Amino acid sequence: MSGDLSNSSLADARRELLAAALAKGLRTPIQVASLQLAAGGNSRETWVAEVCLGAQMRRVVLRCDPDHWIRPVEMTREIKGLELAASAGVPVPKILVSCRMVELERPYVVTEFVEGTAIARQIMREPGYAAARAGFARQCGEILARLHGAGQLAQDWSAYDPIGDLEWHLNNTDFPSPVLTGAIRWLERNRPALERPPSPVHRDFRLGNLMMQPSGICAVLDWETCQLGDPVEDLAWLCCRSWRYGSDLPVGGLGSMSDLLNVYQGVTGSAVDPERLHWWTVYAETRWGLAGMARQRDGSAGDVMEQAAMARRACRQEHNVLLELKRYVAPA
Amino acid sequence: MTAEPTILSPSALQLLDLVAAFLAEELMPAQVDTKLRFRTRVAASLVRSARRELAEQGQFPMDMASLRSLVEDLSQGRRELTDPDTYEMAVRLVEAKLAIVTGGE
Repeated sequence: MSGDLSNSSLADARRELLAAALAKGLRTPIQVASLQLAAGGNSRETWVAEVCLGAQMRRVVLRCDPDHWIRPVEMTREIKGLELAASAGVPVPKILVSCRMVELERPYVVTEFVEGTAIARQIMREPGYAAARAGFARQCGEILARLHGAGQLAQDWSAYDPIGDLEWHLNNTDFPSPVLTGAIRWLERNRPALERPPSPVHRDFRLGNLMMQPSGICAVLDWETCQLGDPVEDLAWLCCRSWRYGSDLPVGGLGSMSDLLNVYQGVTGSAVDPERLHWWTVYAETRWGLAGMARQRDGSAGDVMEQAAMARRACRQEHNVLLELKRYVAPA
Repeated sequence: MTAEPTILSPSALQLLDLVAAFLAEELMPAQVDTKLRFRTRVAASLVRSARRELAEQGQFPMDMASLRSLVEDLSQGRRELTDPDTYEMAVRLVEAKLAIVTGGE
């Protein structure tokens, strides 16, 4: 793709960015000893670096937007999400410096490095993670309850229109889907009213975005979608069929709804309405279906091919949406 | 896969079989880079999926015009996805797509 820097000159540029950010942000002598691009998607660069801060060696993580996709709104959400989470007792990587503190040529955030894995397959299979698996649903319930209860810290967060969000994605798809179009209309007609002031919601809380250690969840990642909304959305999204990884267990393929809800309701002090939860379940499957059908973005041939594979598999999500809507279909 | 000889041989469907096999059996295992390895597997899967689609041509329960019409009706509220007839039609459409895309994989 024209305009791309070669790998080594890209690393040099990021090394400079990281050094400038830490030097200005922490006001201490800094040296970047090593910098490596970690595995990641197309939308955001994630670099792991060893830095010398004063006399101390530390590992840090730099997340920044690539040249072809600068998204300041999402980075601001990421940073505000990390900040709120830290104050609310939700485990997150600690921010060292961000573009909100030190403005540089692109949106970025530098956090401490957190040891662990977010790879679903590892968490599902490795014997060392047995205790983490067993406690997963309950721990999710507690973490989400703390996040959702932190409304007083989210005064400057923006709210969003859930149906408008889906419609935007529908307009961004490459091909017509009767199932997803029909699901959006059903969601619009059956939408439950928000009964309380909106809460801070993560909107992508799921296995894959949770850094885990053998003892359990040690950091919640990927806050770029967080906004003010209905907290039940986070509960439903967590239990989406697409991240059960072949297991029958609804909560990330690892735990039961009752474990999740019992803890969540216990900490928040209020019951989750089952009908509201199911509406958000239909919503989650629809939203994920739309994500898979998104108009193909620029990228290498390999990138575009992967996106095409995802678009072809949209029918799996359409199938999941139809499964969830089945209970509302009158007998013929 | 048909055993009848075709004018241009191997046929398009046979070529797709051969390329998919090469990708999966030779190219993929030789990849050291995990991302390339994954993508080679994806490539093989997509070639097989394309082969199934071409072999199954005409197997969808509706054509594109009917599909667009259905989408328009749903979008405008003239039909609802939870109506039994519409739901059943949607199920058949999705199952036909799934058969091609997953093909038992």
